[in-house]
Amino acid sequence: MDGSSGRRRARLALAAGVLLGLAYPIPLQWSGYTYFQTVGFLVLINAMLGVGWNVIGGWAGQFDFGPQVFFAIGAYTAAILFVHVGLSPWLGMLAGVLAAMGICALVTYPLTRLRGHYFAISTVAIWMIAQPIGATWEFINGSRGLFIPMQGAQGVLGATASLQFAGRTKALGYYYVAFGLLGLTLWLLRLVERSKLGFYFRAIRDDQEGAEGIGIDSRLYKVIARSITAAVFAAGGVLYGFWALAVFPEQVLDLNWSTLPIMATVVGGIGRLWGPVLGAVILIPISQIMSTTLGTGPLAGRGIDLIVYGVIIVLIAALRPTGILSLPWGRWARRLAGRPASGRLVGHG
Amino acid sequence: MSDVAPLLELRAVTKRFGGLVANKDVSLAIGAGEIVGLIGPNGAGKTTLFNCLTGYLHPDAGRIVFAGADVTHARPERVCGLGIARTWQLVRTFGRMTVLENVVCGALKRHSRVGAARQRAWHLLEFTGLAPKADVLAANLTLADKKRLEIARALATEPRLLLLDEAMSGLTPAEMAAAVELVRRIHAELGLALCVVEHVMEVVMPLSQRVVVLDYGEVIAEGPPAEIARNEQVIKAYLGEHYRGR
Amino acid sequence: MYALGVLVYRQLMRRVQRGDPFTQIFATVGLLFLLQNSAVAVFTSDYRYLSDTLLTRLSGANVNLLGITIGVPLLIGALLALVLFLALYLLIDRTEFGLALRATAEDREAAMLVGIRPQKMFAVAWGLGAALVAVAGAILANFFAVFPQVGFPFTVLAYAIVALGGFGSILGTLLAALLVGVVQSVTTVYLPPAFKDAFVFASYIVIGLLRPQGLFGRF
Repeated sequence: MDGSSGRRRARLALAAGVLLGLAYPIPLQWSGYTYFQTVGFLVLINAMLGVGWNVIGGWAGQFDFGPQVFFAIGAYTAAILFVHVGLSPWLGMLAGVLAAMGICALVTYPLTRLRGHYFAISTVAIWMIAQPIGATWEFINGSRGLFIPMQGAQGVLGATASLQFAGRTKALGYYYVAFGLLGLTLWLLRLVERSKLGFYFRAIRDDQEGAEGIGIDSRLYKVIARSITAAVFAAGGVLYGFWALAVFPEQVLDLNWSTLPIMATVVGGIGRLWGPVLGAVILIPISQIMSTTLGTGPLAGRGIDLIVYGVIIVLIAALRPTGILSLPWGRWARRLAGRPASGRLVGHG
Repeated sequence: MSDVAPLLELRAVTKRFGGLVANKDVSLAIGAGEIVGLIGPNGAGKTTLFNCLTGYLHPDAGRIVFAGADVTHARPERVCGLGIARTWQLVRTFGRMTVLENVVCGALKRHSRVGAARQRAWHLLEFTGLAPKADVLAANLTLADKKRLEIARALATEPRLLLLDEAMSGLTPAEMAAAVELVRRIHAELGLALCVVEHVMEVVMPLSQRVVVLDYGEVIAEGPPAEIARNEQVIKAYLGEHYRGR
Repeated sequence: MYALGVLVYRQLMRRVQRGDPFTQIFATVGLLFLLQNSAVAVFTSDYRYLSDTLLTRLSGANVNLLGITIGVPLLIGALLALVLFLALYLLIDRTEFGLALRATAEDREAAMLVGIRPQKMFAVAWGLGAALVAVAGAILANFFAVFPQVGFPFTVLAYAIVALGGFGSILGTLLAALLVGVVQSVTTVYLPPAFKDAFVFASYIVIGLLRPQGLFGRF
């Protein structure tokens, strides 16, 4: 069996990745050029959202195009609690996560009767209903948005506790928080993947009727899966809200908060825990590089980066729908090293 | 005839699809540990009956009682929880999971911890002879192995009644012999009740203790295999002269 | 536009058709990104308006029907759409080609057995779809501003309408569209205009739960 050397390789890769991720922002800190840290922040947040989306989309196999609603719920919950009650953003994150999970469960349970395309449309429908609510609800200031006042806490610990980094360490601080949150999400979801939930989600994806026949309540577990996704999105929303220091409905309900993570997941490897991370690392820098190299030239603002995204997505869909992680890296690595390919019985993808 | 209440009891179950009456006033009982064969022409309503039994369809009239509980309108999950498991006419497995993972999914019904479920799954893989293929993706199995996997997975839910829907269809004679052997072992060693829908007379007659014959949605005969094989009505509707009992 | 639809089918959709539905959705979303942003690249995101067409020249002229005042350009646009609807309905329901199309939708392999080429059917379907949408766009351009992202809200609404009316039923789609139009207008009377589409989607969810195959759905 190939397991042990494969596992060792995986652990080395993980350690390398973590070290790289931790060290990445540091070289640029002294130059004062924090743009790359912000890009890193965006990569991390989208990777986290992608990992969360994988639960409902990749594992449970239900196409969900509306999780940005829970992103917004998280952002608003924490922002409101901070502004009106002075509640710490971390507790606010907890509150946001719980609120999102609760609302998700309530809203999604009736929708679980719908299958495939119909379910997907209904998630979009929820989003379309949330938009005018966000824009006109006075309690959250409607489309005027909610501003988060700076508290000016002292020191690294203080800033972390109030999730407000400022000045020269702003981007750096948020980067590491995002890094930590991504790590936490990956760790927690790995536990889920190996638990009863992980098995049940994939059973529902592969054959819902068959799953029901062995005692799986498909409706319940679809709701659980989506609620987990909602929790991750809510946490992401809180992080984003405090980074932006303001929460606007058009911003937090923006479709891009689902399309980018979904794209990252599909490109990287749908259904694989690390897929979205790889996808985000590939996609987002491309967009940023395009914006900077095209700068203010004649092609600026022409959405060239999105054209590139479109091309990438179409290529992946046509050629390798299971994503980049599903390519036989192990076999290629072995061939490159001159060793024969493993004799292990392996299926496709 | 024992005085113990039967494990499964159907009382006048009727199921309609628009103008078509798929099951009409079907009454039958299965006792604990019994093997009952369910035969009849295609379209007689056998699979519909199975679907009603397992909660995928709900009868328009009549009642289904299993182990004392009324399951007439129960959902499939609950039916499984109470102790009925099934295999499918067109074999269904979780294609993107391995053989072991498939059976673990079944075992999780009774053992919430993955570790315990995995142990139970291994046990069943050995029982059904699938242990060497534990890491193969279900989609890559042969038809015979897929059927065996279905049975292993169903057994993992620790049922008291196992419904086999045309388990022999598509198998070679050698595979069929192995399958029959497995069914016998399931009955002998695990003590389950079994209801077997089958078209292969050489399999279902020797296996069953009792045979129920459906035709056009109605029960037309019920009794020991030898009797059924001599029943004129059954011969005319389904068996044909070749299988007339001697 | 017809040709473009056929091209899209041949190059892309044919390959993903056999895959799982999610890949199909994804492929078309990718295409959306491509096309929409190509438009941005070529035309920029500025709003543009049609100014010297037949319909805009008629703007301001009104017609009085049964006590309701209807703008002439809108009426002409609506009539044009209805004519196309009728043409499509006749094509699908009354011609041999339409029969072949419906047969392919029901059972691809059986259709092949009777001599229908599914690839050709799908290609034509994609081409027709693209062409019809193009005509709709041309008509609507007289009333709305033109910019690359203009198509998106209409697309989402169209999806809900088809789902409401039932996939596969032309008549159902027509009725659903009329219903949606009415719901939209009535909603603006009682709720802030931002909720116009929201109510349509709420109705979609309700109907989706009560009658998943839509009003007249066949699939």
